[in-house]
Amino acid sequence: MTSNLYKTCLGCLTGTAMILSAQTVQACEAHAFLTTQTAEAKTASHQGPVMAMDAWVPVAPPGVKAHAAYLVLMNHGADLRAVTAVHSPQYASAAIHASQVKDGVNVMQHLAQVDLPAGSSVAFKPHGLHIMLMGPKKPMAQGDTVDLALTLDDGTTVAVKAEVRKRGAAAPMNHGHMGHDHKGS
Amino acid sequence: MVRRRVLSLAAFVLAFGLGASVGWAEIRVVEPDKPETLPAFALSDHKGQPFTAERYKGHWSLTTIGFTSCPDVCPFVLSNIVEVISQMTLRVHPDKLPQVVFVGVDPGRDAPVMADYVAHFDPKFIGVTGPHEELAKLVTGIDGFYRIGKAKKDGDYEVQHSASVIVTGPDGQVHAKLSPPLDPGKVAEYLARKQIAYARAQRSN
Ligand SMILES: [Cu+2]
Repeated sequence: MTSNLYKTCLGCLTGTAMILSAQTVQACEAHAFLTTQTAEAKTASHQGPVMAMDAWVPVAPPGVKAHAAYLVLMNHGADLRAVTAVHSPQYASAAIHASQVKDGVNVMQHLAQVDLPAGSSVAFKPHGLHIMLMGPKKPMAQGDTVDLALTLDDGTTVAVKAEVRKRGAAAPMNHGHMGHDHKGS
Repeated sequence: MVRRRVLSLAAFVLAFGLGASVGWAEIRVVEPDKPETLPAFALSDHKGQPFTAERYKGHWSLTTIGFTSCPDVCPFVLSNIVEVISQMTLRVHPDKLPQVVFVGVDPGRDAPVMADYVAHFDPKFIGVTGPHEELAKLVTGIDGFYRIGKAKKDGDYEVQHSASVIVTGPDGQVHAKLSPPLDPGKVAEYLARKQIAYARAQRSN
């Protein structure tokens, strides 16, 4: 049932013309790369039913300007919520992406929003959903903290602190290494 | 001359061990009916040395296609390969550890950072890039694919590339294609067995 978690914006991925119709491309011009206003970043991070856990940003190789953030979002509320935008003051832009393998080819899709069904959790993890962070304002090193503001469809914002750490070091969900994964099929 | 080569691949999944209930418990590997020879190509490694098909001879290699500004999948796969190699150290002689080749298909952005990029994962990894014309030869030769998307308003562009990790043998030929995520232990086991089978076949020839 993952399909309805992803309200995809296929057209935002350039170079997918082969796969996509012109219509899809047009439809997503409207919400090109989503970035949010910083103003409301302080509100509703704890009061709201949506909680963020295990947020981390893998240390990126030097010189690389595209980073990724991973986390688990849990919706403890009774209503369906959705993340509609992401912002980080430390990066030029942030967006929600999904890495997918289509016919053996890696593609990254821009998602307009990610649904958070009531009473469940959604994992952003390597080789899957991720928060794409473009253009770090300064180099990020191990131990640094990345501030993320996730805007929800009800207008509230979830403030998240993501730890910059090495891939493979103390995995976020206390799983020794990537040989384990919780995703049921 | 780039020709699209269709490898006649016998698709099968090798499952080692127990519990194939989740994807991680098995390895997804495709082996050609018989090893495929790499075409000639002329690229450069991250030290500026020529990188040609010759560099595949005499040892096993794992090759993956990507681009250095890829935030999610490429670093994931390279870290995944680091784990495979470390698992292999438990199974094979250090001399038999595969060479790891990262083919950067976005030369404009990859070439300037390639040395630091590969060293970030393992100082022994080899980062390779070069003109698209030459990249296409290698990529096609390993039955891979890549495409550079149109530039967006901000000048950024997407890069699509095939996901697999290619296994080549000391004969410089393609022996298998693995699909990440790689279970480090299982893949190390698979590669170690492959090396033994290869050595045995060489001896009996
Ligand atoms: Cu991305």
